[in-house]
Amino acid sequence: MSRDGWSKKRANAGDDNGWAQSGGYMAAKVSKLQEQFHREAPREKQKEGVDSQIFHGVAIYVNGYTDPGAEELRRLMMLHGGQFHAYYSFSKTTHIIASNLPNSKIKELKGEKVVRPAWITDSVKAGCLLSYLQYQLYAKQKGLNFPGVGLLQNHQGPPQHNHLRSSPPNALHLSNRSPDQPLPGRMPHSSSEPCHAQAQNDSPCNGPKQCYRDIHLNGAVLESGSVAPRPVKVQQGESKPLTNGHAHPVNGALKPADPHPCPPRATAEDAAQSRLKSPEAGASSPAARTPHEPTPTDPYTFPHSPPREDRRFPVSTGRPGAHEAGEKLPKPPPPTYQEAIAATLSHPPLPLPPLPPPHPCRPGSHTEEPQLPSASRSPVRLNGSHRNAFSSDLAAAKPSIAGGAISEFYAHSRYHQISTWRIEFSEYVNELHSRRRAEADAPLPGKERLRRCAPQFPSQESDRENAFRVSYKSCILHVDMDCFFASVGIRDQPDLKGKPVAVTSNRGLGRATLRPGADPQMERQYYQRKYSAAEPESLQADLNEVAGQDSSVLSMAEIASCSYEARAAGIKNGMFFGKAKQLCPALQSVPYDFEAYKEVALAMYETLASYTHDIEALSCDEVLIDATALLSELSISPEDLARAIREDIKEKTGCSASVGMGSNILLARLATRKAKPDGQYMLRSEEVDAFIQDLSVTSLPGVGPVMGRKLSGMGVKTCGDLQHISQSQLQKAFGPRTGQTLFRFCRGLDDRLVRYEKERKSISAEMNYNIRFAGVEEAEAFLTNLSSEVQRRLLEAGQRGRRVTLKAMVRKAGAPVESAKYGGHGICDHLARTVTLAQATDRGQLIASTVIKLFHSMKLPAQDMRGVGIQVQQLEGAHSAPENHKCSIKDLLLGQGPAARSSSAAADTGSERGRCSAAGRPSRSPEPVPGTSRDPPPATPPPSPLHSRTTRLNLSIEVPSPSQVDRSVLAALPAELREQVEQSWSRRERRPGTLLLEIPNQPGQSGPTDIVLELPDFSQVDPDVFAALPRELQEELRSAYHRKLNAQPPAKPSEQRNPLLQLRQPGAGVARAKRRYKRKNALSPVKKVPSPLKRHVTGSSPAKAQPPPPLRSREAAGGLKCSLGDQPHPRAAPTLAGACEMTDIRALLREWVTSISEPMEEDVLQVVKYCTDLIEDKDLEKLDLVIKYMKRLMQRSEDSVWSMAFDFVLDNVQMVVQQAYGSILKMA
Amino acid sequence: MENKQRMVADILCEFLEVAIHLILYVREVYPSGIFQKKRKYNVPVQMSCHPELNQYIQDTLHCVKPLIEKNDAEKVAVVIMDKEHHPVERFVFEISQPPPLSISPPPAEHQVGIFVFEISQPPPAEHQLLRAFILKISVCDAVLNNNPPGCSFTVLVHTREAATRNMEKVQVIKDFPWIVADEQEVYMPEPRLIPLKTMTSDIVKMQLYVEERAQKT
Repeated sequence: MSRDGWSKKRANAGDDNGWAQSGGYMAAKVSKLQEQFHREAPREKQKEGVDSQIFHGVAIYVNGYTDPGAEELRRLMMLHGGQFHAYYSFSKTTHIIASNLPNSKIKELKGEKVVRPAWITDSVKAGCLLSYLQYQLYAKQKGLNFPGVGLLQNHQGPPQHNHLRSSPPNALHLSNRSPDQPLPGRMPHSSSEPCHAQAQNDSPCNGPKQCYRDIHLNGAVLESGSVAPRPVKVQQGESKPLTNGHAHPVNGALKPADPHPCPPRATAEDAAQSRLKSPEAGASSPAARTPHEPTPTDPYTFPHSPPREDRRFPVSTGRPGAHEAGEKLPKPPPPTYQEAIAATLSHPPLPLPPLPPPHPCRPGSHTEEPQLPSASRSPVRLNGSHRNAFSSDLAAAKPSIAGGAISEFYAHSRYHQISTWRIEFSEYVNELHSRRRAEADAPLPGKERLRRCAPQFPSQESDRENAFRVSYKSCILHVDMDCFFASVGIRDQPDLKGKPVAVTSNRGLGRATLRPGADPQMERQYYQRKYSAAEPESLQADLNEVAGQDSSVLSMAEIASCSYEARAAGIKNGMFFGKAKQLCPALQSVPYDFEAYKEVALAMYETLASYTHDIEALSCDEVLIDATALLSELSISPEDLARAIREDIKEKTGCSASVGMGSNILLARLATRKAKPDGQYMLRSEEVDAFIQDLSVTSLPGVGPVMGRKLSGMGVKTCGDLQHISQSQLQKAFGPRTGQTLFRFCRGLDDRLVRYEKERKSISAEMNYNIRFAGVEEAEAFLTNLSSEVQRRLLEAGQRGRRVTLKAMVRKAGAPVESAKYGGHGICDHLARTVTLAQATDRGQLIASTVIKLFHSMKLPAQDMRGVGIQVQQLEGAHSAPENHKCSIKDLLLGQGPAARSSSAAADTGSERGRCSAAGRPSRSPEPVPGTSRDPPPATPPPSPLHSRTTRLNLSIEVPSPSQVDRSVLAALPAELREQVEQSWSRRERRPGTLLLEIPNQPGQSGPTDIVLELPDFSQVDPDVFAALPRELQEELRSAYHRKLNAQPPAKPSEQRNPLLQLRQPGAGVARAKRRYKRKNALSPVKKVPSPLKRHVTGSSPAKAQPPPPLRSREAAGGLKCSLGDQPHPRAAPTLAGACEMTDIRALLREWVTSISEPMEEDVLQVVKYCTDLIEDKDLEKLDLVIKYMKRLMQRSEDSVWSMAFDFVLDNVQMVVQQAYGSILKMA
Repeated sequence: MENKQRMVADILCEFLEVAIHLILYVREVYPSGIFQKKRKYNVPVQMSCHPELNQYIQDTLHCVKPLIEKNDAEKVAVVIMDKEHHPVERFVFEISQPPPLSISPPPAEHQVGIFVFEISQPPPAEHQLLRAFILKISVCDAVLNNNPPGCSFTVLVHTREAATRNMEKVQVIKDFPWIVADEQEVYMPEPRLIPLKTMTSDIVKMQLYVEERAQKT
């Protein structure tokens, strides 16, 4: 904008009177140009013979090519009292005029008003300054997106024709907003202060402050229009009613729902105003106005803006961003909870994968939530990306909201709701079954009724029925509601019956303005190229026409469902509304009504359930019934059943259903096609071949456009063609399963069963609508939010998954920055990356950190992200697992309720270990083991709630690696937790592991149980950290160390110990070890003790519980390692008494050799066993080191027994090596 | 899986080439004059600059690669033979699959590593492990007896089960076929085994040991 930063600065620094200053070339030039302008202005005015002050206070700067051109605009500004700046000045230019701006400039535009040139021309035509809002080039504001809602609510009578219904968007805005945000004092004044009303109307989303501000900026209207010098006044006669006209619908719309006490007066005045106004309006621009000749009795129809507006209604209605953002709002009040939610709600729902045809709909057309305050104040950036809703609004709002943003969103997303209905209905069916099991033979009303009627049927059609009996082993009914949404939508509007009706979110005429940066043409071309005209009809929108109409394109709201009348006109589900409207101008649009859908769907399910429970829910309006049993029981023909069902549904729901029947699912579904609309069809086996022969392949379930294209590439159009292709060929082209399915399907074969219970393979949450991140942080925040949504779904489904996939849609390089469809994803590259977690999880946090890592590893540009999805696969039921997964570290450590359970990630191992050791321990060591498993209370606060607990707690917390942890989060943790986390890191430096908190159960001991944490060696304690701890904690630690010192001696036999044995069974084995010491001390080597070899084997078997880590300083470190290292593992590395690392083994051997005078046989055997394991494990290097080390140790020992022991070991080892390698180790 | 094996084969063959050169240098099979000091895995290694020798080694490894890829090669042995073509030393690289779960190698890491990338990045970890092999080879002369003069070398591959039957098919270089080794080339009286190095990584497990004839002269 500013071509010269310096001049901009100067201009900023200068006062309003900019020309007086001249410093530097640019300033001089600017002021000279201004002077010129001012000199010429009167001359021009004289020449033209006009002297208006329409644009007083308006200073425009023309950027780029415009129509009319800059010269003409300059002239117009001269004529009508405005200013024209040849150079943009931030402080002085009030409006930028442009028809198109490059992206870089758009970015620079923060708060400037960028207006299309038509604003000027139209204002001149209208003779007054029009609101620039309708002419904004870029819509920065989102919200106010409830077109038609208030209207329809208010509309009791039959709707007017389309134009009328969609005409007053402003009214709707206000009506939406009014319940929650009444405009104080505004209503009563609206007629006396038209300007205010207008401003209010123009920026209904902004608070009052903003309104005033707009007025100032516009410069055209000031307080109440009575300020003398203002030119407005000059033309007040004309402009007042006009603006009033603007304001008018507001009041009108407000009337029904208005909480204000004075609406009647306002409307009365409005009516008067409108009456007053209409002739004048007609005079000012008669040609344009005429189509909407207003009737005073119906304020809704009142045109509120000049002619061109009409065509642009969809712009302001359908597009959330059609209004200037509250960008300059000095200090927006902090968003309230409701507003924040509303901000989320005003996010468009997104198409969800499970929904058959994805119909991403227009943002903000939340017709079902009219009561919501349109928190459009949320400063939504260009195109209303999700960003602001999540970042500014939610960040400002309560933190809980931010977290719940996506779930809120999903909770209100229509498509999401519908897609979840299937699951709900599946569950409903499940429930039916379980109830049925419980109630044994509760009668099914529908069935009973049929039974009663049954005798009538066979008499009529006994022959056919018999034929059926013979030919069908099974009979599947496929019940499908006819154009579900549409028929539900018009069920209460009889006048719409028989007319082409489409359910869509677009309320207008199917037009929208072209957003800058968007290039629908290119996108269409892209898709056309991509699909090589496979679906020409749906994609070939009239581009030429689009191009001809400046910045107005066909609405890209998709049609979710359309009536058969509309289908007859060539309209299809999923078609863009704009296109459809062209095909069928009489097309009526009906809003979504989700409550009604649900109601009807439920009624349908209930109806069906009254006949049989062998139901599979395919979607909210589509059901498969396995009628085999029912038919044979009632001995009626399927057609009778279908008829009964259809009548029943029609009666109960008011909507018609079609039923297809066949011997399998495929045939039933195909039959439904033929049955529609409102009919039934039985596809008999003898007809199948002929029927399927000419069926297009794409009508087979599972054959979508992609596969269809692939098949047509193979020259296959119909199922008949497909039958000529061999199975192996199909399998080669489509993979073994799909190939086989195709092969069977095209012959009408289908062996799928009607399953009322469906197992979910994956759970995911995906958004590819309105994803615009400003930066990585936003992307991360979004991923986190999305993860918690996934968590919610996982919990809902009671599943946990191991594989996490991050799916990303990234704007294709070279694709337009802005998609043709508002908020759409445009042309994208689809990327996905998967990781496998160590354990199945349903924790959002874990998923979030995982996907964020993935996100970073994929190196995706945050700005170009257009869609994000998180999918969790490899599901396993979480039923067996502990319920509470949300316990934080803190919960665990503080021993609050959740602590009783393991944290989810380690839950399985934890509980398993807990069980095992709890089971194994008492039998092995009835006597308590003081000092080892019960060590001094650790660096955690005294867990008071735990004192009474007698059960074993086995808590395992996953501590993320230091790099994964946000330092600030860590800093925010309580000191003790922080310390603990840090501790676990420092421990991990040597060997990464989980931090294991164990509260060992003391059987027969009711004394207090503390959480036992192993303490680091006192020397390892960082004095700084220690000093930073709270006093009580310090004290506790000190006493813990003190106790440890005291506790150690009794645990340690003063005489020689057998470290090998002790370490072999750390913890659990301690008792035994002690016993063994006693035996040793008693010098009774003859006594048979279990062979260490054997015990070693059992000890290392993964099924065996790992003993709790011994909690002693140096040995503890080693011991801990063993216990951590010995996690159940199919094929663990060979260990010697749990030691695996060379250093540990060395230490172990050294202690063994030095501390014991005479090696025990079982110990020697254990070593041999270890060496053998090493050979088996093909780890000769380690074997070599072990042998060499032993050799040094043992042969050095004076005691010849040790030498002999070594020879024994070596001989055995050599033997095994010889067997394995045919050679023996070289012993130097 | 296939990719992984291919990657393993690439890594191993690259390593084997370096290792063979170094063995030939360390065991003085060829005069040290034909070797040049180079840097591999960030350690100095000796590489021959004799084109024919290099070609031979490369061809050999080229033929080894498909075997490793299919996990058919159990051992790759560099055999040093005396004048009578009796082996005096065998450097045996024993290759096996890592234990099943050790996609995340040691159990502890398995616990901590919250997740494991599907695509594991080969270089750094493996290189570090392979460097240890190189270093071991360069010092192995300390534990080995000197070889008699006039030695030559050959490369043997011990295949698993029936891999030889498929050998014809996978023959990569037409005029460089594998042949079944003579008994004479394999048999070593009174072999002594000197383990040198073992590594276990995510993708491959390999150990190197030397078998030495007790009486070399």
